[in-house]
Amino acid sequence: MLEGLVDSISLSSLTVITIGVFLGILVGALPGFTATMGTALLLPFTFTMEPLQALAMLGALYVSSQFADAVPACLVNTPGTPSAMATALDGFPMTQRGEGQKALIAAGFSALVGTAVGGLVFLFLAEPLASVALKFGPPEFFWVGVFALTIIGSIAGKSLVKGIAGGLVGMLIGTIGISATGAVSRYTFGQPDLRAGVNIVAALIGVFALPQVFKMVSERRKNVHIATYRRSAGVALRTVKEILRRPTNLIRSSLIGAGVGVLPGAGGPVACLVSYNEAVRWSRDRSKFGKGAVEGVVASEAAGNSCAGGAMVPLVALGIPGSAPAAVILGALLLQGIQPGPQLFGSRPELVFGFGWTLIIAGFVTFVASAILAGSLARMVMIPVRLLAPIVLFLSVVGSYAIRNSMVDVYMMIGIGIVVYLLGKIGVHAGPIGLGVILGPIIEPALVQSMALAKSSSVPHVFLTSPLSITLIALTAVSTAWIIWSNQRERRHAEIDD
Amino acid sequence: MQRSTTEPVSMSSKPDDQETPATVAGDETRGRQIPVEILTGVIMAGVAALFLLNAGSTKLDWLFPIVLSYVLLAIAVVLILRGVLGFGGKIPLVPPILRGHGIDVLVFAVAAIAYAALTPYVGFWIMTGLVITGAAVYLDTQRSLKRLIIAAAVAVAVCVVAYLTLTEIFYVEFPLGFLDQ
Repeated sequence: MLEGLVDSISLSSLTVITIGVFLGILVGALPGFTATMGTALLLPFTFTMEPLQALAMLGALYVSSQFADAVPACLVNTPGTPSAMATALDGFPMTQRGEGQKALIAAGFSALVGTAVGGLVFLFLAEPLASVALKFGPPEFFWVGVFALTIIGSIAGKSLVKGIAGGLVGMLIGTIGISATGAVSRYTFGQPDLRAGVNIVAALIGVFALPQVFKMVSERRKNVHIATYRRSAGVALRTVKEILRRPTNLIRSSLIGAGVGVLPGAGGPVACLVSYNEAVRWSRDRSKFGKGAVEGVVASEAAGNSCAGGAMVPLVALGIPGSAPAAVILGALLLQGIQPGPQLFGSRPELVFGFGWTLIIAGFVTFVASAILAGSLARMVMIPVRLLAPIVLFLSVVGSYAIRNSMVDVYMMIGIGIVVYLLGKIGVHAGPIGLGVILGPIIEPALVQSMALAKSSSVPHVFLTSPLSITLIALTAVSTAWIIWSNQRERRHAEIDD
Repeated sequence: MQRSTTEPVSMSSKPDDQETPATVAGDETRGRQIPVEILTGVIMAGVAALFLLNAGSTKLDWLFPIVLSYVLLAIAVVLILRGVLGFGGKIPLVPPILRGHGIDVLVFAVAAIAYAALTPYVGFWIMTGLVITGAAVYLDTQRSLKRLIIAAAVAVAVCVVAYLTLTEIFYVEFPLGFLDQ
C-alpha cells in the first residue's frame, strides 16, 4: 500500500492528475457533458502511458467532473449531469442569496472529503464489499430505486400529491422509446426519431435549465442580474469551518455515496439523491432545505464524489464496472493488458493501491482548484440577464445536442422545458419531475427482470424474501412514514402561526 | 362542506420557483379563473390517458408505464375532486400565465423553438449569432447602439469559444447549414 502511495505522489503522477482534474472541471462545468464522455475521449491518449498514470488521469477526470457539475447547477440552476440535480436544489438558492462562492467552495470541500472516503473504502474494503455487491439482484435494485423515490417528500414543495404526480410524469417521460428489456417500441407515435428515447441529460436540462431561462426573462425588469455576488474575504476557511462544525452530514453522505457506488449500475444520481434525502431527514430544521441550505450541497456533492471511489471497488475486485465512467476505466485497464479481478490485489498491489491514492490526491487538487476558481466563477451571476438568458439558452441547446449529435434531443429538451415551466405555474415543481426522469430507467428494468424471475417462483418470493430486500423495504417504509409525519407537523405549525 | 377559497396565494415554497407578482391572480380576473387543482388534475388525467391509450399488450414491456399511468389517473381524480369539493385547505387559482411578462416568455419560447428548428438548415454560426444578439436586444430595457454592439460581440465570442472547444476537444459536429456548401 505504501509503495502505491509513493508511486502516486511522483512528479509524473501529480502532473497527469492535475491535467485530469482540469479536463474534468471543463467537462463537468459544461451542461450536457458527462464524466463518461470525458473519460471516453481521454482514453486513446492514455494508451501510451504507464498503467498507473493512465488510471490516475482517467480517475482524476472522473473525480473532478463529479465536482464541476456543481458549477452550472449552483450558478444558473442547470445540472449538467443527473448527479448534480440534488446539488441544484440548494446550491442555486444559495447563489440567489449572494452565496455562490460559498456554495462552490462547499461543493469542492465536500468533493475532497467524499473522494477521500471513497478512496479509503476502495483501499481497505474493496474485497469484502465486492462480495456484498454481488448479492444485489434486480429485486434489490428495484427497492433501492423505490427508496430513492421517497425523496419526493422532501422536494415536492407545498403539495405532496402534486410532487408524486410530477415524479410519475418524469418516469413516464423515461418510458418513451425502445424498452430496455423487451426491445419494444413505446410511445413513439410513428416517429422513428423517438425510438432512441429521451436522453436523461437532455431531459434534465429541459427540466431545470430552460424554465430557469424563462424565469430570468419574465423577471428581467425586476432583477437585472440573476443573483448578486458579494466578495467575501476568507470565505473558503469559513465555509470549511462551518461544514466541519457539524461533520455528521458530511461523513454520512460520503459513506452512503461509497456504499451506493459499490453497487454496479446504481451510480452517482442515486447516491446523491439518497444522501440528500437522508440529510433532510436527519436535519433538525427540515424547512431550510430547498432554500439554500449548505447541508444540501454538502450531502449531494460528498455522495457524488465518494460514489466515484466506491464504483472502483467492483471494477478492480471483480471486473464489473459500478458506473459508466468506471466502464471506460475498465477499458483502459484492458488496453494496458491488465485483467481486473481478485488476483490483481496480489499480482499488482502497487497499481491497485496507487490508483486508490491517486483518487484521493485528485480530490485534494479538485478542492484547491475549486477554492481558487470559486470567486471568479461566482462572478458569472453578475452578467446581465439580457446576455445571460440567451447564453444559458445556447448552452442548453448545445449541451443537449452534443450528447448524441442529435437535434431530436434538442427538440425534446425544449418541449420538456416548456411543459415543466407551465407545470411550475400550477404548483408542480421541477424537482420531482427530474427525479422521475432519473429513477424511472433504474426502476423499470429492475421491476421487469424481477417479474421475469417471478415466473419460475412467485412475486412475493422474489420481492419480499431476501434480507437485503426486507431491509430496503423497511427503510422505505420508515422514510415514507417520516415524510407523512413531518408534513403533518409542518402543517400544524403553519396553522398555529396563522 | 367548505367551498374552496378564491384567495390567490403563491404556488411555490422555494426561491427558484417563486412566482412574480404579475403571475398571481388579480381581483378583476377572479371570476374567470378556476382552482388550480382542477387544471392540474385535468392535465394529469390527460397525460395518463395519452399513455394508457397508446399502451401495447405485451405484459412485461408495458407493465411499468401502465401502472404509472393508472396511479397518475388516480391522483388526477383526487386533485379534481379536491378542486371541486374544496377539501384540504386553501386552493389557489390558476395564475394568468400570459399576463405581464408572460408574453416575453412566449416570445423566448418561440425563439428557442425557431433556433432549434432552423439551425440544421441555416447553420450553427448564423442562427446562434442571430439568436443571442436578437434575444439580448429584445430583453434590453435601455436599447442603444453601444449595447447592440456589445450584444453582437458577446454573440461572436460565445460562438467562437464554443465552436473551438466543442469541435476541437469534444469532436462535436455542428450543423453548418448552407455554409457547409
